[in-house]
Amino acid sequence: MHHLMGAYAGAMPTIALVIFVTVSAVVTFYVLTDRRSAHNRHMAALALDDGQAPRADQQPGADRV
Amino acid sequence: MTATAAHDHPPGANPALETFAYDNRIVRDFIIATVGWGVVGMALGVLIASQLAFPALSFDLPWLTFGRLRPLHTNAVVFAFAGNAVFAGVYYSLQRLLKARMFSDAISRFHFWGWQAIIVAAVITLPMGITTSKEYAELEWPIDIAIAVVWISFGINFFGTIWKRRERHLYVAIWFYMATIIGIAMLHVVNSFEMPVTLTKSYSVYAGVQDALVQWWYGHNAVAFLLTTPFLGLMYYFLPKAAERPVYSYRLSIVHYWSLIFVYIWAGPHHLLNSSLPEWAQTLGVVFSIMLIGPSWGGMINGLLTLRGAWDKVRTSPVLKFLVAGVTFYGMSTFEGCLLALRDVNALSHDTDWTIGHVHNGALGWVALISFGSIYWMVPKLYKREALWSNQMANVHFWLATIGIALYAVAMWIGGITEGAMQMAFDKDGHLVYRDWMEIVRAILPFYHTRIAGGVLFLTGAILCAINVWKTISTAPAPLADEVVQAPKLLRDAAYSPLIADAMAKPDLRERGNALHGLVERWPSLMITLSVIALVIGGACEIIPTMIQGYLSPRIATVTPYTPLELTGRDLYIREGCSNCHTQMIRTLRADVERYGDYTRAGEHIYDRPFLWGSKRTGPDLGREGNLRPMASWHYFHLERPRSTSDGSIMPNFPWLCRDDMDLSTLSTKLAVLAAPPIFTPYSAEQIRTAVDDARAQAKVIADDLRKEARLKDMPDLEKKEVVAVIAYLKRLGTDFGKAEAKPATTDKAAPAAGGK
Repeated sequence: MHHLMGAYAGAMPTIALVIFVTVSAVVTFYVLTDRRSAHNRHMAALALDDGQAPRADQQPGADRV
Repeated sequence: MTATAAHDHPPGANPALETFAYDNRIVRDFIIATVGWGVVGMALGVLIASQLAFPALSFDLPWLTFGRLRPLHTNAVVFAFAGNAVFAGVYYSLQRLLKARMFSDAISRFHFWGWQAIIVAAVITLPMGITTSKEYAELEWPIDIAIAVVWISFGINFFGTIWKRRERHLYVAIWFYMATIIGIAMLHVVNSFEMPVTLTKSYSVYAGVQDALVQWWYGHNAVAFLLTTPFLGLMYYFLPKAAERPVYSYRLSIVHYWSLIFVYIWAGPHHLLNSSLPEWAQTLGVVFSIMLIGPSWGGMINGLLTLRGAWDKVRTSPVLKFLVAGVTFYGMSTFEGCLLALRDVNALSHDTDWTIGHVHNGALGWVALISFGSIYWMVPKLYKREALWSNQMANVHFWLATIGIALYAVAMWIGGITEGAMQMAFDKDGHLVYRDWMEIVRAILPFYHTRIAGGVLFLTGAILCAINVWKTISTAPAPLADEVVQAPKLLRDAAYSPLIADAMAKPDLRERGNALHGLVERWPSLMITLSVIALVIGGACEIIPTMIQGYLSPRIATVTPYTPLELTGRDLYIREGCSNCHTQMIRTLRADVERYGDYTRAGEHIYDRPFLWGSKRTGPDLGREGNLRPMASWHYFHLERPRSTSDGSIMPNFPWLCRDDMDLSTLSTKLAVLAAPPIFTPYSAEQIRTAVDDARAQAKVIADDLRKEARLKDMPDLEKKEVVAVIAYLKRLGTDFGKAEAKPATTDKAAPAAGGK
């Protein structure tokens, strides 16, 4: 293994570059082909949902629940 | 919005609404603590920056020196300001994202007061010189235990709230919070293994290069899991809130999370490039540091694109100004981090102010701006106000902060590059151009002055924030009731196996992947397990080999344990925080070797607990100080008043070292602890028994040498003074390696050439 690593040391940067470009392309494709499924839309909007305000008659004492 | 009801309850299920209240009081408490400690921590930063430019500002007071206050500044900003900001943001957003009150109000209060007590303990102990000297982990062992207990209480409260949630799926912000809790627990425990001597003193279980690797695995990942992941969680929560837009890409957030937590943990060794750390570990650190640009910029892009169609709001909303600038600084500082991890760049930048500038780009630009943005968002809502007391004041704060960071960063960039270039400059004959360290100090002083201006602007902004928050609070109605809301009860998953089967049955590969990840999002224990695996892999691959002492630190026959007096001097060196300004690592670089002597071997540090390699050269490296300056009297006068021997020095005076008697009362115990398992330093029972006598005998030799100086000739009890122990330690540094009578038993494989001097 050590011998092989030494023999092909010059090719390592190219191999690393190819791996980097390939992984980047796959990830970009994965992100850009988001089909906007109902689940993804729901998850993306979760931060905007604080729960709903209760009816006025449910307010008193509710903080003890 | 009430998407929850429709989403989580299948037809026929009971969607009955439950009424409950969010615990806002705990959030308010953490916000007030954030603002208060923020002003304190930043004021300390301005003070120590001023001390570097004007050393007289130490006023010859032990507790006011740079070496003791610098750790207090970093602890105040990292754990008090940023820590409290994280807790405020987590307690606010977690309850709303899970539609549930926190698991336990009592644990919330314990967490709050426990954390504040830890900070107060730091404020008391660090100026007293009670420190482990390990960066961002300076607090001594009883406080370490307290940190672990309080952190676990936070974890129980966090995971307990997930258990009682009313929202089935965990939002991406919660994943990042989860990584924070797991990551910090792991880092803190592993890095804090130390053997107590007294309540205020301990020795690290790790030594030398092992300690360095564990420490920078911790130090780098404290940045990752206390200053990055929780703030990304805050970004994913507050940016959509303020922009009133859902996060740009949910898929990108999935890639962002998993790749970030997996890659980040490997990058620590880039803090030890060109050192005696084995080559393979250095290379791992570089490779993973470069890879980090992917997840980091993915997160930045996801944050900024969340504002699509809402950029006009940035013009009028101070909250969005802070958040957008914070995310932009995140992108810039992560790019800078990759750059600084490249070997050639690091050779110039490491140990210089460029690194300090980089840290502050992240701390001020990313952490502080996100914190202020989140606080400005939360405060009106928590105090039942329509808006802040003054939006105009918040806008002024934003511009003061931004200009302050810019001044700070530019000053440190230019100063750091100047410093590095001068250290590495050779003339045409191959000699160092700037051999006198004072030439370098004089060249960078103007940038220290500029830094003070930047820091003052940033601090002024933080004070305006405190005024604005206080005025907003003072107009709030009393009493403040908790916020009451309704959400449907969550029908728990009876079993996960049908869900797994459903996901695996999806014909399309991407849909199958989506379904499987959707399963992870609703299955907290699976999310925790996968996160732990992602976090542990990198740590294990780097830390486990460090336990193999013989491989990482080849024994050198001439290297022996410190004498009792040298050990006392070393502990005083730690007390005074000397490693904040002086390194003890001569790198495998020609400029270092030319200036300081042969590069440092790992085997030279096998008795160093903790390691004292440092990370910044405000003064020169001391790795071979014993060879370079063997004269005891020079050290005496230099420690007493540095400018008497080094014109233009910015080192503080240490007159108390020449005035106070050394404390030898625990010396035998120290040797006994070092000799006992699991440390096994080869001190014999006889050496432990006679430690005090041996120390006094060595002190007398040094004192007699000092008395050859006319001024010290008649000084009484000179051999009892602390300075004598420090001199003994400094005279020992680097002298073991290459002693004439012996050659190294083995040499480092990573080193280009072995041999003594």
